Amino acid sequence: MTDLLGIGMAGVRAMQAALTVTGDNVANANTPGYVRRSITLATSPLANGVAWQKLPTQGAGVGVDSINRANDLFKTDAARVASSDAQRLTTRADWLTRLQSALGDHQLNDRLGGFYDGATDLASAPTSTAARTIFLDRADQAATAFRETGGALAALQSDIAKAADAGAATVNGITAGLADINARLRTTASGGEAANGLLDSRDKLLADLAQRLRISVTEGAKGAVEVRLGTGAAAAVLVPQTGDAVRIGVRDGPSGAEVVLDPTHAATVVRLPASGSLAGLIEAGRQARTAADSIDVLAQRFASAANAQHLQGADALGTPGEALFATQTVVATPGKANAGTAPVDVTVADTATLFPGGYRLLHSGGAWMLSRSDGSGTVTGSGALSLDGVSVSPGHNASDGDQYSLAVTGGAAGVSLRPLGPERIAAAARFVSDAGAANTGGAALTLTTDPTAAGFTAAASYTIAITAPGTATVSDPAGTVLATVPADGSTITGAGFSFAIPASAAMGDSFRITPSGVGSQDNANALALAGLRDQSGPGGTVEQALDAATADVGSSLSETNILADAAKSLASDTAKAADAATGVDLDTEAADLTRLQTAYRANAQVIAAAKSLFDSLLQAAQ
Amino acid sequence: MTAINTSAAHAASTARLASLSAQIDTLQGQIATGKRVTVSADDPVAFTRATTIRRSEAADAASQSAVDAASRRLTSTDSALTSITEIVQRAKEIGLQARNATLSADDRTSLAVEAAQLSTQAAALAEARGDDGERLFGGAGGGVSGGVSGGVSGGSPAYALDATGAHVWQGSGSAPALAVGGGRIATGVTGPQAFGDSTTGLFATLDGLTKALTEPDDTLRGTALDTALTGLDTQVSHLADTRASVGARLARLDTESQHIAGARTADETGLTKLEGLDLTEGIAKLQRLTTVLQAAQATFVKVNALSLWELLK
Repeated sequence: MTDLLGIGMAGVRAMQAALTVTGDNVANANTPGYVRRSITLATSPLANGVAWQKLPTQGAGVGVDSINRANDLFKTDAARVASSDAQRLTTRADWLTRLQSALGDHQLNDRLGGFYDGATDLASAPTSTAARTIFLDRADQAATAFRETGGALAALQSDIAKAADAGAATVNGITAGLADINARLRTTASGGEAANGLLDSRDKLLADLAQRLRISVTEGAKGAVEVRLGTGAAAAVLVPQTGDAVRIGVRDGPSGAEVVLDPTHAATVVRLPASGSLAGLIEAGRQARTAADSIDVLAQRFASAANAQHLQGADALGTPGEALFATQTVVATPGKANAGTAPVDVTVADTATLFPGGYRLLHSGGAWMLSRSDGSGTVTGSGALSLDGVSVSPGHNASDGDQYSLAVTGGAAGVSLRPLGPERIAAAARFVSDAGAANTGGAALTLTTDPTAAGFTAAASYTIAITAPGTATVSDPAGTVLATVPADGSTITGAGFSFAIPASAAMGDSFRITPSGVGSQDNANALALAGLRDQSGPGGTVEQALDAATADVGSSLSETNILADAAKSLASDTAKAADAATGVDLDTEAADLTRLQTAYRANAQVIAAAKSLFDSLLQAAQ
Repeated sequence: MTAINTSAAHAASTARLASLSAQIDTLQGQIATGKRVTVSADDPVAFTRATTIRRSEAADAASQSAVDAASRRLTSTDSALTSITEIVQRAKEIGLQARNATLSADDRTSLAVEAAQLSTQAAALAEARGDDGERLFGGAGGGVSGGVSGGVSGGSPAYALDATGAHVWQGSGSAPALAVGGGRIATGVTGPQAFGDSTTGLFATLDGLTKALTEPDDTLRGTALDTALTGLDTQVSHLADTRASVGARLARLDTESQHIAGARTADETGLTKLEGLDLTEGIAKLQRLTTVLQAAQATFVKVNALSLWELLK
């Protein structure tokens, strides 16, 4: 009878344990990383296995053998790999979307086209102040669009670098956590709730790590894991089964960001497998860098072509054109070791002659020192300083020893419209030519501006007369012959210009070459500025090259979006499959609960039956 | 059997619903804007092509206004030349009248006065300005306008009288050019092109006529009038040639305008084809997606309601 009572008690206890496990499962149904527990029951043949007791002929009830985690290594690993792939693509898509905005949001394309269209407008009204003012505005717009786009791309690259650093820091946190769990697992008995909890945490950390990097996991004794970056025997170990985790870092390499192991001691560059959010980030960073580089190149190409053409012309005052755009600027970067937080404003005068190596600003003994990077030309003062046309005004909160490096930068950031008045727009060619009214040949001179040309003495204007077949004289307004030149189509070096007299010019024909005067109506240089639109360089015209850069990002984003969709659905499927094996299915738990409750009641009935047997026995003995 | 009541199964279902909602949202945006392609990633090839088209649309608009300005200038030039031709015709009548009829000295004097006036009128017309205020016959260096050069306004005359009283052209170069289809068209004629030089040109001939009329000696006057009449004939035919050249350029500009208008229509059509959303198709697709989303939502609720827990009472 006592046996029956014991068996009943054991059953009740076992069912209680099983119900607790089910309850735990239900409670943790939505806990990330929780793996479903199942209980294994075993019969207890020797309830109190005492040595002198004779071998029992029947069992002594039931006991809890172990509580297991329903782990499925293959499915979990597949889910990790799929989530790693999906993370790489979604991260890349997110950042490429921002890159696409950075490239397109500042209307660079429209404003660049506006410059050329403005030059066409200027050519049709070369003496109109309104047209000149509009052209200046268009030029300013184009330069601003380049600067803004360049700025947005620089900001994006810096954001990506920050995100990569943060990603590396998170990875280091996770791997340190895994190393710690490994250590604790080795000292914890398997199969217990403590070990299961540690394994849950381990799997959660592995899943988190897999979102950032492609890892391969080898499980050792008691569930301690070895984690490698990537797959294969040669893959670098991030977390050994025993010992500390290896830290990673992201740094700037020759071809964009790269991942290094042990960044603070013996930094080794590792090839990052193309999976995980860190890989997506680095790929997007490379693309952003390519885009920024091409915008920088285009900005400089645009500005220098416009400058070169503008220099060829003459403005409304009849003076030679100046450069339209400045192509360099100075950017201040605070030293990494600065303790203070003083902001530094830098302005560059239009007339500045920048020292190519840049400048240094140092705060020392309460004073500021500005010097060229080679140490020359030091100026000292407590407030604003100026050197070579570079004005620096430091703000407050500087600490002694704070340094700033002032780099001379070109690229998109360096392009800006110079402060020119509308009269300074060089719409006219520097020299114009006309043919005498009495000419018979109908020939016209070919005239090009050539500032260095000094073939003969400069004069107020030049008269070219054909004196003999194939020969002409060049004379000044006073009639003095300056030169006798061939009239056979060959190029003749003049004074600030070069020209050719066609062989078709007839005897007695005359031509004039006159410098463009004040308020010239000539529009040759404006037409040439508009014609820069069709000037081909690497990758076609400036606009075509810009199109190509935009399309490059666009097609890459479009492709990434398609791949990301596929990867996300694969990740979702594998996660579902893994969860089906390891997760909590509430229906199963509900069924278990019902079953176990019934079993519990049945066991309780066994105790009741044993009690009633006892009672019957006691009554019989009365 | 796949378990449906796990958290991953829930997450997968909601992700599918979210994806459907996102598709509907995108489509709604496309229908609202009427555009299928708004950013490069939507369709990189179409986007690049559309960018090129939009650029050429803007360039065409600028070209069209340049063509219009050139047209206006050439039209003004033509009307100035017409007026001058009429003056020369009238001068010729005066010359013929003086040559053939037996006129009194008084009559000749009044004819001489008229001839002198015609000469002044012609000189005034040679200073005619276009609608931009620039001298039509000044070439590139004719006038200075509208304050560009720091307050100088009005512009300098195209012609000035030298010590001998001859009209000397003050301009230089040629009228502003218009770039069309790879070539350049001068948008005006210079003084020397229209009126010849200072010794044998239009103004010298008209002055010659006035001088001839005031010549008292009959023989000398007869010779001088003959010379003036020959000169006027030459000028009439030269003016006609110049006007023909202006007319040809105007016709060329007309063709250019038509060409630009045609290109703009083609660009507009091309743009719609590339970027435009087929509304019928878009709305049908929206209808389909909405139905699918509703069905998916209903299914989700139904399937998840099939929980054993509901039955545990």
